[in-house]
Amino acid sequence: MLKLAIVKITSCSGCINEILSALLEDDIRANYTLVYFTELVDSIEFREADLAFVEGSVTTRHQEEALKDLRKRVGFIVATGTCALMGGVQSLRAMGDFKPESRGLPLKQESSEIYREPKPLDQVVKVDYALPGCPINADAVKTFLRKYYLGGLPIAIYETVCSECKRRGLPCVLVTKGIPCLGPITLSGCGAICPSFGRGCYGCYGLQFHGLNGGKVLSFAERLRELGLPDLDYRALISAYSYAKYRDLLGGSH
Amino acid sequence: MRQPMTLVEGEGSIIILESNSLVDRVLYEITEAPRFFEYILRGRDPWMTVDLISRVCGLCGVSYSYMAAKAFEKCLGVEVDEYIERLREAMHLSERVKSHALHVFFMNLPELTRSRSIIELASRNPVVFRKAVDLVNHSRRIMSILGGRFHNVVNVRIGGVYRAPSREEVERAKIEVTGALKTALELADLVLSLKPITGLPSVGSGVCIYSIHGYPHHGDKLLLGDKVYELCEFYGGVSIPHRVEHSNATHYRLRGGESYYVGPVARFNKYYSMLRDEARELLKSHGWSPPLGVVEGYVARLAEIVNALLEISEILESHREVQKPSSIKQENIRGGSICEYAVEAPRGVLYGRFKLGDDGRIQECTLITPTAQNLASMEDTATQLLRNKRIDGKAVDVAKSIAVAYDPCISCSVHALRVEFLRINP
Repeated sequence: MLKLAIVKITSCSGCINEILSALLEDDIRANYTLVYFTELVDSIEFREADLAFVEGSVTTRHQEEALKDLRKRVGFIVATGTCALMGGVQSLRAMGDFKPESRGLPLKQESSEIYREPKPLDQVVKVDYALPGCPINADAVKTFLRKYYLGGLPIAIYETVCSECKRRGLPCVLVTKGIPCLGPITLSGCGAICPSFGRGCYGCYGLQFHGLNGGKVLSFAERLRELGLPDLDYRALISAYSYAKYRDLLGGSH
Repeated sequence: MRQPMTLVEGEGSIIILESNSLVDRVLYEITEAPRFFEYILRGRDPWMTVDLISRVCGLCGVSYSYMAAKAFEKCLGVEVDEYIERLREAMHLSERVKSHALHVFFMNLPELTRSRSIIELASRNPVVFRKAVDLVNHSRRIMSILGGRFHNVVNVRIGGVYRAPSREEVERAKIEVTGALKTALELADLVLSLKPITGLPSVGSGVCIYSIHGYPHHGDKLLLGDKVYELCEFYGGVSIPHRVEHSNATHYRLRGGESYYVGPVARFNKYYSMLRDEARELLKSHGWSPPLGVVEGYVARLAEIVNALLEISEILESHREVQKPSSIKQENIRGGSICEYAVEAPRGVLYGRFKLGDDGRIQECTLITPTAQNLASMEDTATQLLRNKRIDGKAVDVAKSIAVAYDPCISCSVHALRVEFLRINP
């Protein structure tokens, strides 16, 4: 039995509930023991674990310290979801003039050190594996857990959502209907859900980061602009789920 | 004494204030780091908002998207095709089934049967575990057919849906609904035979959406006692936000200081008569009737699961082919309006108010979540029950079960509870 911990930081619990779906499989439950998962297990501490899924992005110093401590006690860390990988939707606050202290929220003193810009996990600790998605997909978790137990990892696939549309035989919504679609620059893994519903991909799996550079993002944005999206919207659309990655690629000026 | 909460969705702690070794007050501290959604949504167009807003809560994203879409439709005067509206209701109801099934069987049932977790319960009672998993998986497939996926569905838009299901998809969904209903009824015998860890009256009044034609679902009026309030009236002066020192979440109380609760028990107690006959018969056969206390929430949740499945089934029966799944074009969005609406999310009334600027973008946004509204009632209920009792393991258990009973979804508002004892100096 491998010891499994499920840790949540700043996030919505959507990914955690996909992990929960994976844990309902008999063979997976037979091979993993849950040492920490507050949503499901009435236990608030654990000493060490072989594997931990961490959902969410880092938004307080307290979380940053807790993660560093977690890293010492866990053998393998999986950054879970677009928040953990690229900051997630909460990163959007860093686009404007946001100051946590000026939001007039009833923040407790110890947690008042809230970062203006949420950090992806790899900015704080070494990450061993990444599962993208907003939310991640339970099938991907199942595949991962089965292979990990056997001592392996899923084969890395560097594709965009476009490949999934092609495999499913879906007509391109961007080309045939002129609907703005982020498929060409978004990580695969969802199964092209949005195009299958006749709408454009809105990038919730995050920016495809292999082979993508600022220039390519800008020329793609140019295409979206031709489709009639005003300037502000294409920025918001492309960066909505992966602002941290977007800013790396384009810098603060775009 | 402070102890992290477990078996709830999100992060927080139970704080027990003690005076002369006796319980003085019970507080629920929300330590979840805020994500500033109301700020994030500023400057966004309403279209993007409907998708982004579902990320407030991983568990009840349809409620958020649906609430936002309805708010914009109402203030922009958008008519939605009747069948399409029913389809969205079916999507929203399948989320209610999912959320309630997860709460009743994965969080509340282990607590009611004194197990550490559903995994432990699985080894003690594999049949119940298998059925609970089946129910969740049925709801997963219904949501995938209607909305694209289990969480953060992609098929809610202003003016309707992106794509209505085909005849073949509707037939598949019907099979899942039939399976879910059969499983829920089999599980009902166990769940409805359980008694809560503590029998207690609910503290405060229940608030839910005012409904004329059926069990409360979504609307623009609220019911408190016998009085009906417009949304802006209720949140503009009847329910008052309170900032409390021990929590990152805003609390809400009625003008006189009294706490109120929202959610399945509030809906059930007010609208029991509007539940379908099958749901009421089921409860009657196990000796349950209104009013229920909040700790008996699993009874209301089970009734709502059965009721929702019957309603989804009826909606799917009314299937027809739709050529135009949405009635609005992007250009119709105009500025200068205030858009507000409320839906009955699984945990209760979810209210949203959006002020659109002249450019048609969101200028200001207010979101009042069910859990935030329940926090004051949670504290009042636990305090009333435990005040002047000895602080021991039992007191902590009661404080924990109150938290679990309210099914706080802390990720959205404000997320497992620690328990802390703090001595008050005389």
